[in-house]
Amino acid sequence: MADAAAQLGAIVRRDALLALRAPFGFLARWISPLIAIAGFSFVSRLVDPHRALAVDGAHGGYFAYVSVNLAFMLLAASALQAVMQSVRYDQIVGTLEPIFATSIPAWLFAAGCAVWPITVSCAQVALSLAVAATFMGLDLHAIDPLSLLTFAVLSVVTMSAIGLFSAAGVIAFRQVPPSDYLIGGAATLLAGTLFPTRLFPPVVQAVSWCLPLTHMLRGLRAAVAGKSLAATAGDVVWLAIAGGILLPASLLALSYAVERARREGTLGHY
Amino acid sequence: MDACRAESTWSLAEAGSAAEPVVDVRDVTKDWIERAAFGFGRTRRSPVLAGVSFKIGRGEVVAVLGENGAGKSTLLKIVAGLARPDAGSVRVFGADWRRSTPELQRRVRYSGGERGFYFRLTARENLAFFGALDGIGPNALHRRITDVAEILDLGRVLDRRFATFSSGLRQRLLVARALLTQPELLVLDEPTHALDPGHAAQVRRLVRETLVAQANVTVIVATNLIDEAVELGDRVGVLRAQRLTFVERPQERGDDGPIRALFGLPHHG
Repeated sequence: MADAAAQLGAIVRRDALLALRAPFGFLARWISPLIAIAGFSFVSRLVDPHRALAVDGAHGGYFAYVSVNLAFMLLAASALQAVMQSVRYDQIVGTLEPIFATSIPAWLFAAGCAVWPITVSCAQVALSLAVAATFMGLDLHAIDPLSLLTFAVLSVVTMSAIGLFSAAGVIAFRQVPPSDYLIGGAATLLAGTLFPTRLFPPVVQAVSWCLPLTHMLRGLRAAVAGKSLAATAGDVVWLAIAGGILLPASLLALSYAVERARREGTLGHY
Repeated sequence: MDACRAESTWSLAEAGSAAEPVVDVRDVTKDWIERAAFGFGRTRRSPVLAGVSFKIGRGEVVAVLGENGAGKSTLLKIVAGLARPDAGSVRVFGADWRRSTPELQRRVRYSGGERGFYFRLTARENLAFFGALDGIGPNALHRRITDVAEILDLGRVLDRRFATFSSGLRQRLLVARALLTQPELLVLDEPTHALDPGHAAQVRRLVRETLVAQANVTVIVATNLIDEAVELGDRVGVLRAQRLTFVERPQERGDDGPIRALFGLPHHG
């Protein structure tokens, strides 16, 4: 247990040092979401000048709807891409093979790679919401903390599990699978990040319902609007089942990908 | 081959005879597989190793010579558990790599390539990272980093970023990383590649006089240099046409005739 904590700590320290020693990219990651939210505060004046529209229960109309979604998309994107990007970076730098030559298990390495990006994105979510509340009038007074925490944890687990499949693909195929771009782009649209999913045709709404991101955003919006867990039980159960199935499956996929790379001798390739 | 044996004090060696070998490689075959994108489409296979067998005993140094692309690195990675054979078996300390444990992995270290560090981290930070992944505690790790840096003459550059390292420094850092866990089996892929003559001699002395003579470490080393193979190896294996042929260390130093003959080179005067 102490070994595992030290191994996780080493990965977090590495990621922190690498991020802080590339300060421009690191700063840009903090600034760009704020710019997006600021932009949508103006768009929302066109869509909903009096912030009176009832947009899926969001207090404060369209701006509340879209700003909360955009903030939590940072968390979703981070959970989805953290391990995959880290593995790809190690592949290109040439450190992936030496890492798997050490005694750290693949699952623990993957978990370690997720810690720093997800921690940073949690701070970015908090900053984005705080800026939106302070300068753009987002109402955060009704937040239900238990509901928020539950959805945040379930979201991280489920999205990380999907991200692990991508990481496995990177190890096996030594390139980012095209499904990753498709899932990232399409899911943002279909999950209702910018507008409610009820605007879609019924068939597309059915596809949207199948996406974890849809339930994640709906649950987090509800938590920010002050709804209890009981009121969002459907989304909680959906995410819990998805996470319960996807996480072990993705860990198996990761383990298989590492073994396949060893079998083919391609751990050091990129 | 027989001609070589007749003309020299060298003799073609048994492919290892240790009673309890540290490394036991049997009939290993390996092809390079070149797949189309995402594993679909036409697959091309190029044979690299065919029926390679040998054993290495505790405290023994085996040097593997071969032309570029002969499969030396592949063979060493298979021994180190970083690649799997297509057929045949590899047992290290009596265990199969496919059922390896963290303990087994800590007993074996591979050193090769030149890219395996983070450019934005210092040498010390890089070593600390890999040492921690191997489960070395912070205090012990601090001591080990200081020790290996001293052994490899890296003390003065430990706090410099890896990006500023020359090829020779990178090579020494690779060896330093391999020594962090105090391995019992050391797999070195061209450890003196890019080193100046002084540091190359230092690494060779480190292998023979410190690691083997004092710590009884078992070493398998790949090199392109016949002189280095003869200096380091208790046995020298020559990898050609996917097969490994062993020759024993000569009674007389400098008698590398059989090896040179295997490469089609003229005998030294």
